[in-house]
Amino acid sequence: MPGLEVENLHVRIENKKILHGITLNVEYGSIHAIMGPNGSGKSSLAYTIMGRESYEVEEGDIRLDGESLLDLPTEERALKGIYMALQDPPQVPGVRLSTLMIAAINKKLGNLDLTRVKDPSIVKKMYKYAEELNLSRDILQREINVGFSGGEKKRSELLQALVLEPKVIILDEPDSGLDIDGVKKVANILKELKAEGKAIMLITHYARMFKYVTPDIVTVIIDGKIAVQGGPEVANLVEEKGYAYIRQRFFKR
Amino acid sequence: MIQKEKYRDLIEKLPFQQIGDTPTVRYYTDWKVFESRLNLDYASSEDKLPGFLSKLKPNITLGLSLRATNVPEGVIVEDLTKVLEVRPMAIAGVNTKMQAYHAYRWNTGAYIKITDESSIEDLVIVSLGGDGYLGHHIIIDIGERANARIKIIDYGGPNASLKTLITEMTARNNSKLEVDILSLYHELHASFIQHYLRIEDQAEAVVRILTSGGSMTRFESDNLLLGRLSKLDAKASNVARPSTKTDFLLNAVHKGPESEGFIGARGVVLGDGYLAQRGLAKIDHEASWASSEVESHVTILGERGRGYAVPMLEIHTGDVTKAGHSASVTTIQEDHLFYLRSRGLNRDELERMLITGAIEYSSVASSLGIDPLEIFLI
Repeated sequence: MPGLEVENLHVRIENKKILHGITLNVEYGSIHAIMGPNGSGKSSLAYTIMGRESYEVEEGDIRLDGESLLDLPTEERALKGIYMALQDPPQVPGVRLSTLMIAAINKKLGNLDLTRVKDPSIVKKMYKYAEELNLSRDILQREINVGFSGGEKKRSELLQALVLEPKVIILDEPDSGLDIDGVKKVANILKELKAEGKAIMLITHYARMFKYVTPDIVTVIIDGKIAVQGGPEVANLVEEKGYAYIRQRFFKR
Repeated sequence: MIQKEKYRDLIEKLPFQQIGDTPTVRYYTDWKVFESRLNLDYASSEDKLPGFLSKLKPNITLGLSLRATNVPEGVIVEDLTKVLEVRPMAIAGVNTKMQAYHAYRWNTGAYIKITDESSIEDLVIVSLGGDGYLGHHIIIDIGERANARIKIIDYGGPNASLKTLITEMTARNNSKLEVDILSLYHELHASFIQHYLRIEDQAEAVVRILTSGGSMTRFESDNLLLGRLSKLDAKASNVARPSTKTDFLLNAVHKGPESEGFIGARGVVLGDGYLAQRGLAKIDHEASWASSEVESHVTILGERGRGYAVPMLEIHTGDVTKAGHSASVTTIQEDHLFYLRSRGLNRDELERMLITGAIEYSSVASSLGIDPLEIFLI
């Protein structure tokens, strides 16, 4: 199953080149972990896949089920089935979390009125997943990320992924700011999503989440290039030796 | 009559705004708009409510004159010009030029008494502008242990006119008040609006406000938590449409021990609209163990729009249960846009959602049974 394919991706922001020929696949029913030190290009890769305008693709391609996404704006990519949980999502005063999810579902279903709940099971689903994520139902009526704690923001991003049912889920540091119980919870949900056949790109600095969920593929990006790609043993290597070692070993010519 | 003459003198003597009205001594209201209309004649015709509001059945209408119809049991309505035992402006006070102007010129008034222990489901009060000056003064006295839901529709039509509206409300001991206020004006209309609410012992007030429009709207909601264990929950939505200016103030002053207050406002600015959204939460020295929060968030959608969020928190006692404030003024920044687009929504949908969201914050539109976006249909 092809899922999401990134091929020889070269990206710049204004005059700075940030990705240099990234190639990787995120297959359905798998977890592909992207690791790397701060500023290595992990989030940039996610933003480029999602079509953020300031990220200019110079060369290469991004495909979903074999179809190039490069000419599609962000919202079209979302409607095709790509979802990104942001590392630090912005506050949106005045818009409730439930309003956003209902609008996103209606848009996906092609309903012209984005505000009405046509299928009550959507609300049930929101409540169910909120409970699973240890989020109070009240959070659905709160304005998006306004006054949310760090943990609530992370779980709210995951809640949207569960409710919106995308094909590909990109999670940018879903474990940062979570306590150990929170990390375990996220890991369990990732396992469920994988079992449902979702393609999951999991961006993280640390391997601590891999104690609870094993990635199928691990790619380490350093300075915008792939340093090493392999199985879960790559994450163990990072954890054991650190990024300085990876840089020295895999970029040494 | 002597009183009226005193107010005429005060119009000359008092400034539009007292120093200290804002910590920056800034003028958020364009007083020139009011100054240019002070000599308007009294209106000879009154505005009509727009179609989407016509389904509301007013019990009390203030226009050129006072009309009361189908007043529910437990409510007494009297023409304020004929009631001798209450003194208008007793709660509001007269400290500024526009208050003096109103006190001198208001032409239609209502004294509304909600009797003790009565329960009033829906009392609809309408205040209409006209083709000149109209001044409305309303005194509402909610009796002890009474339970009242009041809707105030304040409308100004398409004339370059002026309206002043002052309400003085008292929620007596152990009463419960829910008041929805819709202030909706055409682009040429100017309004000076003040709503005063005094909340006595163990009384609870829920105040909901939606404002939009006006060449200059000065809207102030002053809430005094006077009684022990008094409660206030006030939320406002403000929509600055293109070519309109609003200076909005929502204040809570705590004097009652263990009183609880929340004031929050959400605003959106469209086109070249202007919105100053201010809020003061003040805990006086006698209000021990009070709690108070103030929030103000403004989103600017128009490229030439201007918006300010000015929350203030003043605490004059060492014994406070809770006090907090937050504020933001945001434009649709690239990160907001990206975030919502990544959920499948385009810019137009996002803007509509932000406008609708800001309007729904106060729940006035749903309480009146109107679609949030219908306020653009005037």
